[in-house]
Amino acid sequence: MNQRIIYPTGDGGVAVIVPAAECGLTIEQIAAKDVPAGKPFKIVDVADIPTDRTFRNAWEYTA
Amino acid sequence: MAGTIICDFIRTDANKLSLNVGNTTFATINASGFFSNTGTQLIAANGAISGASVIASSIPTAAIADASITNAKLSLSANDSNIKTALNASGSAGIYACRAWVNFNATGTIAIRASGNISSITDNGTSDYTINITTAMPDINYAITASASVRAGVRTGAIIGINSSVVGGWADFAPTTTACRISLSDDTSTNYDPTHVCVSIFR
Repeated sequence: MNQRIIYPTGDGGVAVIVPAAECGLTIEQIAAKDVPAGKPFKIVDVADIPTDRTFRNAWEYTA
Repeated sequence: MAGTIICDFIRTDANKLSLNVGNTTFATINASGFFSNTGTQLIAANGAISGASVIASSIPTAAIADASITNAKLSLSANDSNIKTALNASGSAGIYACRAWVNFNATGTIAIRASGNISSITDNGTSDYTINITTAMPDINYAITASASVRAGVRTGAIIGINSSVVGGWADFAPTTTACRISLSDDTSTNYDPTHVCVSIFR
């Protein structure tokens, strides 16, 4: 899957969900299952996620 | 029964047909079916094989209808010797299955290389990943094994914490039946994202 799911973490950061292609679920089903209840989330293209992880813990979620 | 039956004579009496060699009867047929010389019914009147021992190799696979092979007829215990043989296992110790596993690259664009019963992983930050399970474990008392490649250019091992988080400070993480969490560092307490992270879950 060339998509990712992002949601804000409790400490102001952002979590990125990486789907397993072999699981047989759609990205929407994975979001429904793996995003913590009550959290807003967005489905984004993988190209929108930075590949440089040097400052990974400083990434932020914007609605 | 394969081969040719040669007998000295065929005798009929008392509502049965007997196949004899000399005075020795080696099979009889009557209204109930076909019987051995010891009186064991081999084939019933309706054609069903009953008391006969059928040599498995004598039955062509194509002659067995798929619908006739039921779970009940194939039922084996988890530790059946045939299963152990198939898995190259020996001894009397039981076999316990890996219920979920994943191999992923945590560098650059994090990606799952291969997995089983895993819906996704969550990148919580450097060195901190949640493993999301597709079909839930029966409870939260499963065992997690995890391994990771060393930090590039540093000759130190990966120290992996299961059911712990590093983002926001090292802390315990309560597993659920559908998720567990791992975090890691090298032995200088430096967090890093490994090229290879492998997690297996047993229950």
